Amino acid sequence: MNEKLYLKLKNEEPLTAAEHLELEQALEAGDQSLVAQYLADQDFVEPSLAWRSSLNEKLREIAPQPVADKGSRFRWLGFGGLVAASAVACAAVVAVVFMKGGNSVEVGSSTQVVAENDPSVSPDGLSGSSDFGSALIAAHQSDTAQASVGVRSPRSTPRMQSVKLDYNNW
Amino acid sequence: MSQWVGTRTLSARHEFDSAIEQALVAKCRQQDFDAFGRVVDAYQARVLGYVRRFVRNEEEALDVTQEVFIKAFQAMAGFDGRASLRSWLFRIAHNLCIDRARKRDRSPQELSMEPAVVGDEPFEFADSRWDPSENLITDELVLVLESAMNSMSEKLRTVLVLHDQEDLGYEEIAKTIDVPVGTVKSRLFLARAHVQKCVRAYLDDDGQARVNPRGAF
Repeated sequence: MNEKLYLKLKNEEPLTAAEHLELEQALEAGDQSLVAQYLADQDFVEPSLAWRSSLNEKLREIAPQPVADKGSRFRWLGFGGLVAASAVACAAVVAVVFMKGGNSVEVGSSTQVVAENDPSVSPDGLSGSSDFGSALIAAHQSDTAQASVGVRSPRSTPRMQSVKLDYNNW
Repeated sequence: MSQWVGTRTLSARHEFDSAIEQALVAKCRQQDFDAFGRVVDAYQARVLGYVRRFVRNEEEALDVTQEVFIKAFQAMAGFDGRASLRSWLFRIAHNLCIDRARKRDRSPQELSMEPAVVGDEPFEFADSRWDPSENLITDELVLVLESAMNSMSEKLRTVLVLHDQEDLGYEEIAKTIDVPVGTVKSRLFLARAHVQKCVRAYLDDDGQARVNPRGAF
């Protein structure tokens, strides 16, 4: 390569077509040069895992928060609302059951009403020997009866509904 | 504690197919952490190898390499895909290395090559004494080559490394360092000429005594 072309290259001046051709030929020859072969055969050194871990930490610091986080926040709110609604519904059911239980106590206390409606029958005169007396005593000893006088919770009153009083046989 | 891995990879030039790379880039644009991790896995060694050509300190080279990927992660949304992902990463690395060199003002001065080529002597790259199929590069010659590369300007070294080491084409290099293609060719020629001058000086001075028995280097 002549000196003129070399100086043009060094000064990064525009080249003529002939000079371009000469440069291309020189570059093609240079592809087989020692330095080209040396660099082409270069191995690469992998950074360590510690380096990579450090890079991951830095990337996580600058990474924007995933959109899913905001969604999950709303999901938690929705879930909480669902739980609250469920609790309210359960409370309502319990309240309804409680109220129904209270009515049955009233029904279960009919033994007292029967005794009061018939003046000939005195609760003090009852004895366990008669069927009616036995049934009445059993009724009074039952949960419902206890509930009706406030001894026991009225929630157990449904059991009282199974007690049948035989009014014809007393 | 050194953070270098003791083993050198035999071939770290694993690249993605075009379709895979496009899919990865699309995921990376959405800040997909796992997808970007694959990009890091594929190119970390190459980027580090490039940065080490311009940053002498190993720890600093590792820091710069991390910075390259951090900037890439942040700027991935602006990656238009016209250039390959690899050359885009090299562009980021190139700019970071230049910034560091400017800040520290320790960029090596370009050596004058006039004494080696002035005159009518034709300048030939293909050295008849060098036959890669029959000869090995000795450790001493490696030192000469590395010294020659370190003594050239960053402009020349950038083109030489990107072309001969990273196998980028002229146009890709031109886009990477933002210069005309003709300038890339000129710089590549000058860089190789500079190395050859150093090798010739080594062979002429005391290298002849170390030439292998076959008489070829």
